[in-house]
Amino acid sequence: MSVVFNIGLYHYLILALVIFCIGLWGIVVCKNIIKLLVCAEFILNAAGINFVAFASYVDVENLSGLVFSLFITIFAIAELVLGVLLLISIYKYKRSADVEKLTDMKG
Amino acid sequence: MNFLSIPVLIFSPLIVALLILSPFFPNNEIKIRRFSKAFAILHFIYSTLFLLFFNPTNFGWSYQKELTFFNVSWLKTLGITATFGMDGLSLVFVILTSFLVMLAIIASKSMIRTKHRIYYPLILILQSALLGVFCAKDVFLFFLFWELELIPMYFLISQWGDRDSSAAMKYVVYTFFGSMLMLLGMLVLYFYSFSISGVLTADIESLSMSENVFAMWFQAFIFLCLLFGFAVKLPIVPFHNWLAEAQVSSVTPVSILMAGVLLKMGGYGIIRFNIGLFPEVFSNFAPLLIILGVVNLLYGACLAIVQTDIKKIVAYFSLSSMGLVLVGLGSLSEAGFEGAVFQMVSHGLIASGLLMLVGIIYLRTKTREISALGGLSQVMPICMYLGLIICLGAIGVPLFSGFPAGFMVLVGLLLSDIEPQAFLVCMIVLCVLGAVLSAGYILRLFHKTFFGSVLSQFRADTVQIDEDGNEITVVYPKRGITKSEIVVLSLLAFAIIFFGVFPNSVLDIFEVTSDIILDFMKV
Amino acid sequence: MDFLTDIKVAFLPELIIAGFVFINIFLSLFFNKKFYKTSQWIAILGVLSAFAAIGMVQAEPTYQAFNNSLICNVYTVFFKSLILVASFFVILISHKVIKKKRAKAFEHFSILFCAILGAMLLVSANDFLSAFAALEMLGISCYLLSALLKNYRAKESSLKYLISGIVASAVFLFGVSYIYGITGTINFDNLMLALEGYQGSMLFALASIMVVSALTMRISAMPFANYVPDVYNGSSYPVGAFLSIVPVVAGFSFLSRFLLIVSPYSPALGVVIMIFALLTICYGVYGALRQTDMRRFMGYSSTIQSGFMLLVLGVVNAYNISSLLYYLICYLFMALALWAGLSMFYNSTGRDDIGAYRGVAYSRPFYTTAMIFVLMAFAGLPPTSGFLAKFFVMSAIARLGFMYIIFLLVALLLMVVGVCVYLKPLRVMFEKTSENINMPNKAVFTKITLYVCTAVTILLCLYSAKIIEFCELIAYSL
Repeated sequence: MSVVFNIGLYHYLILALVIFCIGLWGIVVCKNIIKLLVCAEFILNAAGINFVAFASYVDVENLSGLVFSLFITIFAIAELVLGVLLLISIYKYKRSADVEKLTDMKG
Repeated sequence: MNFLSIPVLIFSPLIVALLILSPFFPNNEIKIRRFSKAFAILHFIYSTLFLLFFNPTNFGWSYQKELTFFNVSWLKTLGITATFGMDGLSLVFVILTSFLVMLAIIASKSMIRTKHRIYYPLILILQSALLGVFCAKDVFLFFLFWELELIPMYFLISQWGDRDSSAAMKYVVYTFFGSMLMLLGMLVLYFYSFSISGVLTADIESLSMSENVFAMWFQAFIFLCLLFGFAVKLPIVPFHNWLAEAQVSSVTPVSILMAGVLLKMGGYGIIRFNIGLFPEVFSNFAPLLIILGVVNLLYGACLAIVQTDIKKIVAYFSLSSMGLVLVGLGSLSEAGFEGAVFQMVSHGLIASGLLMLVGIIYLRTKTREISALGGLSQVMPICMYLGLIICLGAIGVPLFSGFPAGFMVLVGLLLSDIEPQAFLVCMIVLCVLGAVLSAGYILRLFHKTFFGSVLSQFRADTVQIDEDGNEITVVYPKRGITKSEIVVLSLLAFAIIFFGVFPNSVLDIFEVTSDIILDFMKV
Repeated sequence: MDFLTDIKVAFLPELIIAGFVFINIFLSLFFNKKFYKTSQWIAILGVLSAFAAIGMVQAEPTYQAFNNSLICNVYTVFFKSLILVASFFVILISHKVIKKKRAKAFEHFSILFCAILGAMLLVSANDFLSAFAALEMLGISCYLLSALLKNYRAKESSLKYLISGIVASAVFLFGVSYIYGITGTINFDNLMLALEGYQGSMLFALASIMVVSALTMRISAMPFANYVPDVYNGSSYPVGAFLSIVPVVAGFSFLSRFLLIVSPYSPALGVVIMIFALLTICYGVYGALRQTDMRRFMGYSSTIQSGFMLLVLGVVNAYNISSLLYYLICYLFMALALWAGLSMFYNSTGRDDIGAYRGVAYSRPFYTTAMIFVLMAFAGLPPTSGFLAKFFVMSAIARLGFMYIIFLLVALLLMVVGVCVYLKPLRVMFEKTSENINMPNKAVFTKITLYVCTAVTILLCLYSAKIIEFCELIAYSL
């Protein structure tokens, strides 16, 4: 018995939405900076999935969504590099990557 | 008459203030004081010239002048211009302002000890703002000056006087709160008259022409917004809280200006905007205003009776007097209207006089508690005699300026068309009751401070212990009062008697204006 | 060569700024230690030459460049000149910072120029792709700028900035992807064509709300305003000044252009924006009232001002946009003046808590006078341009109709609380103190910035007719 899934645009959109929500939830609850950065990658790439899906279903002749997703990847990497950089310098001061310890500024 | 220019009248204090603040001016207390005093006197003379050349039978605005900045109107694209003008009503308040500012500056000689370099400029900037309020012919120009007055007032209350209190902040917040609602009303009025007439203008005269096309509830909304702003300033009872606190914690010349002029801004605003722009709504709201006025009158009187701080008594006296203004305006009759304006002028003089007395006493005895005072008539007799005139004015004895004011308001109420008659009779009875109460607390104030046994610490040439514990000999000046204080008190006393005997000298100035405004209401 | 003509005709300023990024990087290799002072002059030269180049671009009629991904018209030129004026003054007041940095001075300016370039491209962006790239360019440079100080706080605040920035750009991208899915295009001109006759739907409104809320990150408004005080606290004064002005100006230029296109098709968008704006003001006022650190105070203060600016964007029409433009001009000068004043004080006393200002009024009368005017402008009191700007904004809302009265009422009441906020530092300045405040500064440029910007703040009120006319002209050109 085999069920043939007819995968369409909505499946991609729901997938992207689920990944986006997971990433957002992770950013809200995660205590570790590395986990935070990974979750940030999640939400950026969820948007990338949306773009690719729309490019192949809605905007077939131009494919500007594909270009967009390429740009998203590039900038996501740049931001991740910056994040790791800051993580290292914070680690130097605090000897920890715990978000709860980042409490020098309040108010 | 080309030398009579309203912009010069309004902005000359500001320029003199900047001159004193500039680094070129000698940093000498006496020079600063004398210079500002001389200017204030000249300014007063200049403002009286406006009266001399004023044609009281002239309809509408005189001395109209638009101020431009390099030949560009201030906010031309929005239809807002910096236009100034004067009618009889403005003129009365302009002269009152420059008279009281002059007196406040003269009185500052003995009252102000520190920071002269900032104090006198602030008073002059305040004067500019006040004159601007009374002369503005554009709604938003009026608002600009109304707000401008806040800043010098904030510093004047907070810097000289009781430094720990939050009165200055309270004053600013109350007034700003009111003025924001006022701005709301003004903006709505401005845009809806635009949407109907198609002409973007904020000129008071042009706006007053277009009000009839609005729905009644809409007019009432704008009316209430505006009234709220003025009610905080006047003050009307639920919003009066700032007054006593600000009065008590500020120094005498500042409280003179506050009671003498700032409260009048509220009354002027009600006449100019609420009556001038919405005569129909106003006549519907008139009974409410009479009730509010009577509440003000009685509530202020009751509070004044129970106070033990003599400055607070004067503050609540002001509250009570402003109630009479509201009653007069609400009566919708000519006598009531003129009585209300006259009451504002007369209260300006009387409250200034009372505050000056309180200031003089406080300066010498370092106390304002009524139980700690007594027998001062033996130490400072001249002060007592002048104070007697002022107190009689405050009670409303005939031949003093308080009498014609109160009398005209009551006559106005009697002649009013408001139904039912029983309501009017009740209100008149309550007003008379208020007058009786005022006699009570003013006489108590006068009696307890000036008569009775002389408390030992007030005898001349006695030894006192000051704050640091050192023994000092307090030497009262000859006759217990300085020359500048005599000048202030006697000028006020003279004005109180003069306007009491010749009330027409004031009434004639704004008679035509009041006719115009009342005609609006009849139509 | 199509590419080169585009640059020559319309994007010479951007080219100059980009050139100066490389010049600064290049110079940082050789002239680090000794000639660090020249970096400021080179930066000023860069900004001035870009400003001169702005006069040469073709603004009328609209010029479409790079395959219609960037445009150049009167509106963008206006915003670019605002950005350059702000950057000019920011470079003027960063005298002390480069002295402290020495070896890194050139690098500091190269990042600053990257941020300016990002802001200028964001102003010009005509499709979502270039807008995203410009946003990221501006964003990454800003994260770097805020991390530049050599202490722990800078790093921590920068990380917070980065994380909320990433969330904001992801939300932006998500919203844009839905708009792309609905219309099938990312170009603004095509978007306008594609939307013609579109009925509008909740999904489209949701997508627009996502984009708008992501852009509030740049204009330091709710719901992405939490990072602002931290970041200002962690960065130096000139960087704080830069962050509080340039991203805000660029963000508003993009936001109003975006809203102009989508707002007719997104039901409830206007109300949501107005609620965002009022929440922003509430948040800023609440934070600022209990603040003792002046840099954090500035963070909340810029939040308050952005809230007022965002309020007019609830409904997008020419009048509202012209009031926004006037507000932006005024905000630019008053923020510059206040930052200059604060940095002047910090540089000579080394303290930035509000208590340090006790009694300044008695030792520094001129400084205090200027500060009084600036703080009054922030509070919206006359006779400063802040009053007129707030007045203009309020009039724009009053003009919209009777159902917006409730927003107007709340905004007016919040203004009352705003006055308390800005009177707080003033009150401290006038408190009596026994200690004599010594402010031996020779920072001529900072002083010039403070006094010039204060004077402009006052003049903008008096000479407003021409400025407002000019703003209306630009708003109509949009």
